[in-house]
Formats: sequence, structure tokens, C-alpha cells
Amino acid sequence: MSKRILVVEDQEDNRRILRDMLTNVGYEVFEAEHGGHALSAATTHRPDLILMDIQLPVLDGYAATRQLKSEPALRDIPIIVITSYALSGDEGKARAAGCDDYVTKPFSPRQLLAKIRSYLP
Amino acid sequence: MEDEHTSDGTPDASKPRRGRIVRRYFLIFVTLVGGSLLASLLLEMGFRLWETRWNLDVVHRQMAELAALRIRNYIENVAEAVRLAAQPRHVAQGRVSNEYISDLRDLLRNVPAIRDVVAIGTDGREMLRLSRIGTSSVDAAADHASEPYFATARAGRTYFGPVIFPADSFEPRIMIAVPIEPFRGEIIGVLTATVNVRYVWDVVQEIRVGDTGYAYVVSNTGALVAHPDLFLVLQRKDFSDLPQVSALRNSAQETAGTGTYQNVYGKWVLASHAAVPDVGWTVMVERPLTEAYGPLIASLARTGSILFVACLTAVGAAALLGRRVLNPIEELRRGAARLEAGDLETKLTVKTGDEFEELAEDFNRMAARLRDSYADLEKKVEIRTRQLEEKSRQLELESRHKSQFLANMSHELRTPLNAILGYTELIVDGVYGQPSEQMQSVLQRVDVNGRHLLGLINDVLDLSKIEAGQLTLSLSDYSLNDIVQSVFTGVGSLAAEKGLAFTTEVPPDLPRGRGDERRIAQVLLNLTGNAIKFTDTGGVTIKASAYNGSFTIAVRDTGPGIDAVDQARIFGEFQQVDGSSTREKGGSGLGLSIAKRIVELHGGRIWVESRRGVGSTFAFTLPIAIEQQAGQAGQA
Repeated sequence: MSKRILVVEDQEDNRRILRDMLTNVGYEVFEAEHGGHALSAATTHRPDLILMDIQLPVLDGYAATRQLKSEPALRDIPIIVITSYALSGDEGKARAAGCDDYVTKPFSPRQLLAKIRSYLP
Repeated sequence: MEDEHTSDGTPDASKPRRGRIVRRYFLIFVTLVGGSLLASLLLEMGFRLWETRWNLDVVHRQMAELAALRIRNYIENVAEAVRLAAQPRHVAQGRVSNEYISDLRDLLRNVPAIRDVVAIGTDGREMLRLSRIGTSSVDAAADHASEPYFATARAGRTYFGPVIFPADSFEPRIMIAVPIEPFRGEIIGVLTATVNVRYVWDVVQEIRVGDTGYAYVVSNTGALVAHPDLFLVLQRKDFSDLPQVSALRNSAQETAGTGTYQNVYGKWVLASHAAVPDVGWTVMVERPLTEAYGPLIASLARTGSILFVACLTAVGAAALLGRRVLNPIEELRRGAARLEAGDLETKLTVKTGDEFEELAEDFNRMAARLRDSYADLEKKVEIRTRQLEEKSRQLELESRHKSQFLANMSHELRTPLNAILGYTELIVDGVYGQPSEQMQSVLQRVDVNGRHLLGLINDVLDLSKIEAGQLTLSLSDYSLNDIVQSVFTGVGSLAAEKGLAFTTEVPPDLPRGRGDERRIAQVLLNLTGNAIKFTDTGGVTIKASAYNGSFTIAVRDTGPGIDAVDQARIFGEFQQVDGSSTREKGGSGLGLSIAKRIVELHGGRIWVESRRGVGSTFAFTLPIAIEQQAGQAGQA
């Protein structure tokens, strides 16, 4: 059975790039458009990994990460946060929110893929 | 104030000055008033003394002359009686009739002062001798012819003899001798009378000079003839040594005069004298100085005490006036001090009804004006402050908006660019089917240009944030070796593509530093990237060292080098050595400027050493550990 990845991303292009890249290598991809949907999608689909953008409408990535990590049933799912290059201090905030790893925009699909594979053998 | 302002013009510093004016004027006043009073007192004293002396002199001399006159009259009366008795009707040549004897007896009876009389014939022999005691034996042996009294009387003049102090009596005597002249021009003998001078004593006793003054009589030899103090006379005192008497003898021509001497008792007296003619005596009138000048002294004492009281009154008045002057001045000074201390509510109350009150009112008006202008000023300052605060708030808001705008814009710009780069990579990776060779090379160009654009956008964003003062360092511990290594890895491929030797010289034992690791890496990446970009042959070396609390990181290249004029310019914004190099080599021209700001935020500095045709070395220092970033670099 293929691994399931939840992508929380409001930008449609980014979602598509991630989806094309990940499905191309055989992952099953679920998508959420903002933080508010992340919790329900994770509960429903039980992904093996979550890619979380920070700048999200409704509920930003930090808050969503904190929510996910506070759910006993969901807290073991690794979360990779995608931070913005421009805002220094994002890494610290992301770590504080409880994410497992982060990549900085603009990310190279190849590098991100390498990072994902390290969590999903 | 004069230096006194230095006086903080503190009240303490000015203390010794307090009341100086008043003291000065007080002294002047007292000197003037006291001096004039004293001068008038002295002048008055002098005049009064002179006047009194003159008056005393006149009065005393008159007294002495009066006394002398009385004594002379007395003597003259006796002499006249003797003369009368010397004009007998019953005298014949060489013979004394009984009638004449009775005449002489009458004389003795009528004039008690006459002790005895002797009638002497022209041959000098005694013709008759009558004594008050009774015996009348003629001394037949006595020859008076050679005696001076005989010669004088024989010549027709009256003779007054010297004072004699006989052995058998205490009472001094003189002899009077007159010619016996029954008819004018016919002298038949000489009549002598021994006169007891004791009667002069009564005259002298009666003379009173003031309360304790007295008169006495001395003979021409200085022998005391009469004195109220009988004891002195009985002692037969010789007064010739008394200064007033000896002075008389020395200036015999003076018949009357006054002087100040010590009397026989050693007391200071005012002494006047007058001569008694015929007998050659002198009457002295003496009066103790204390009595003579008593009224003067009493009067002067009165005047003096009045002057003293006047002086005291003057001093008191001066002190009072001084107070009156000093108090308003003190009040003014205190007010000025309060004003100086910032108490603008100061109000003086001086109610002297004179210039001081006017001055105080002026002062109050001045304080009020000051208060008003202060209030006005404060109001203005308040308004201006509010305006400034408003402006500052607006600027802050604008700055926040600008920064927000930039953050948004960079996000907006990068989002589509990221998508372009992402799709390109996916195409190149064959996610959408394997592209042709030609397509691969075009996609490569798309990727390179896209990344260049992304770099430009990032640079603009960085600089904007720095300019807005919004670039903050994210401090953490870092390893300089790791940073150099990551940069070396990052751009190593570029150097290899250009065939450049690329090396690092970093001691393995560098201490760990504290700073913004990512920004430091950004600076080093920029310098190294530039070095590789501008160097066509030779090599690039990164060298790091730690010395004296600072890291020094240098990037040396063998590129074209930079002229001295350009070396100062290149750290400014949008500056590359020339416009053409920007076009040729790419880059925003912001990299060095951003690098400089980041280094300065760390408290370090950055510089370049370069020679045309030889190469350039860009170097920067960083304090090994910083705890907070330095002042906002590049704040406009």
C-alpha cells in the first residue's frame, strides 16, 4: 500500500506541483486549502506525513501544527513545515509549534522529495 | 550677577556680601554725623575754654588789683596818719614839746596797727620814743643818721621799710618813716612808725574768690606777709620758690597777670597777681582749677552727653534706616533667587511706599510676564510635541505599511516565480513525459533566469527591510567552519565550471561564534559568488582567522581588480564598478550594500583591498560573540 501524504497549501500551483511530484513517485496525496481543514483531513485520511505551508488563510500553519500535535491520535504523524524565506525567525517558531522538520521557500522539488523519503522509508 | 552668579548665585556663596551696602552706608552715616558732632564739640570746647580763660583772667586780675588797692589803701591810711602826726605845731628845733608828745599819743591811740613811734632829730639822734606798751625811754645812744629810712625821710619822702619778722613776736612789721615838717619845706626831723602788718591779714581774710579761692600777700623778697592760712604766716614761710612768685620776680615790670600753677599745697590753681605800690608787695589771688573751670567742665559735660545721646540716636536711626533699606532689598533678592530656581509664582510684597515698592511691582510684573511667556512656550511646545508625535505616528504607520507592502509584494512576486521554477524542474525531471534535448537546454535557461530573478527580488526585499530598520538578527551559536564549508559547497560547482582554483584556509580550531548564521553565510556567499563571477583566470581563496575577540574572513581573487575611486563606491546601493559589468555579470548591485549592513549589524566592518590587474581581497570582521545587534544600520 502506498504512503499517504497530506498537503496543506492554499496556492493552487504549489498544490499541483507537490501533487504531480508526489504522485509521480507513487505517493497518495490528499489536499487541504487552509489550516482549518488540516485537522479534519488528517483525521479522515490518516496520512503518513503532512506538508504544511505557514502562510495560510483562516488558520495559519503554526496554529494548525499545534492543533495536530495536541491530538493524541495524530501527534505521531511527521509534519514538514514550508517556511517563507523572507521572514527570519520562522524556523524557531515552526520548531516551537512542534513540527518535525522544515524547508524554506523557494524549495527545490528534488530536495523536498529527498527530505520526505527520509521520513517515509 | 558678577562672578557672584557663579554664584549659583547660590545664597551660600553670596552670604559674606549680605548687608554690605547697609554696613557701608551705615558707617558713612555714622562717620559723618558722629564726626561733625565731635568736631563741633571740640570746637565748642576750644572756644569755651578760651573764653572762660579770658574771662577768668580778667576777673581774677581785677580781684587781685582790688585786693592790692585795699591793702595799699590800708597802708596809705596808716602812712597818712603818721604824716599828719609829723606836722606838729609845737615843735621847735631840737626840742620836743609836751603837746607833741600828746599828739603822738593820739596817733598810737587812733591807729592800733602802729606799735611805736620814734622822733629823730636832723642830727640822727632820737628825740622822742613812744611805745604802745608804755615805756618811752629815748635811746640816746642810737644814731639813725646813716639808716636808709632816715635818709629817705630827711629828703622829704615817705619810706616804707621791708617786712620784718621780729624775734619776740609772730607778727611781721614794717617801718614807715616820714619827715617831721611843721611848715612846708622846713624839715626838723624824721618820724618813724613801726606798723604791725597783722592788720593786713584781716584784709586778706576778707577777700573771697569764688567758693574756695583765696588771696595772699608776698613781699618783694618772696616772704609771705599775709595768708588766710595763718599757720603758714606764723611759720614765716618763704614763697620765693613758688613758681608763680618767682615768675613774678623775673618779669618785674608786669603789675598784674594770670597763670596756671601749683599752689603751696600742690594743687593746680589759676593764679593772678597784682602789685601793691610803695611797699613793693604783691597780692596773689589763687583759685583751684577744678573750681575755676568747674562751670565750663559741667557745661561741656552737658554738651558732651547731649552729643553722645545725639550720636546714639543717629546710630540707631541709621541702623533703622538701614533695616528699612535692607529688608526690601533682601525681599527682592529672595524673590530673584526663587525665580531663578524656577518658582514663577513668586510674588513680592514690599509696602514701603517708595521706589522699593515700585521696584517690587516691576519685579512682579516681570515675573508675571515670564510666567505668561513660559506658559505660552509650554503650550507651544505641547502643540508642537503633539504635532511631532502625530507626524511620527504617521511615519511609523507609513513605514509599517511600506514594510508590510514589501513583505506582501515579495511574497506575491515569489509565489508565481516559485511555481514557474517548480514546474520547470518537474518538466526537466520528466514528470510530464521525457522532454527533447533542445527542450532540456531551453528549460535550463528558464531555470537560470528564474533563479536570477528570484535573487534580485530577495535582494530588493532585504535592502528594503534594512532601510526600514526591520532587519533583525536571529542570534544563535554557529561554527564558522560549517559556514565556510556550506558556501564552498554551494558555489564550488560555479568555480569548477570556470576552471578556477577554489580553496579555503580555515584553522580547524576556530572558536564557536554567536551571531545570525544565515546572514553571515549570505555575506560570505555574496563575496565568494562575486569573486568567482568576476574572475576569469587564477583562483579564489576563502581565508578565516580569529584574533583578539574577532573573526576576520577574507575572500581573495585574481580578478581584474578595482580602482581606488571605485573601492569606496562599491559598498553603496546599486553600485557595480560600471553599468556594463552589471549587464555582463548579472546581479542587482545590492549584494555588497546588504553585506555591509549585515556586518555592521553584527558590530563588524567590511573593506576591500585591490589593485588593477592583480586582484581583490574583500574582507570583513565579526565580533566572535555578540549578544545583541549593533545600532540599526543604514537607517535613513
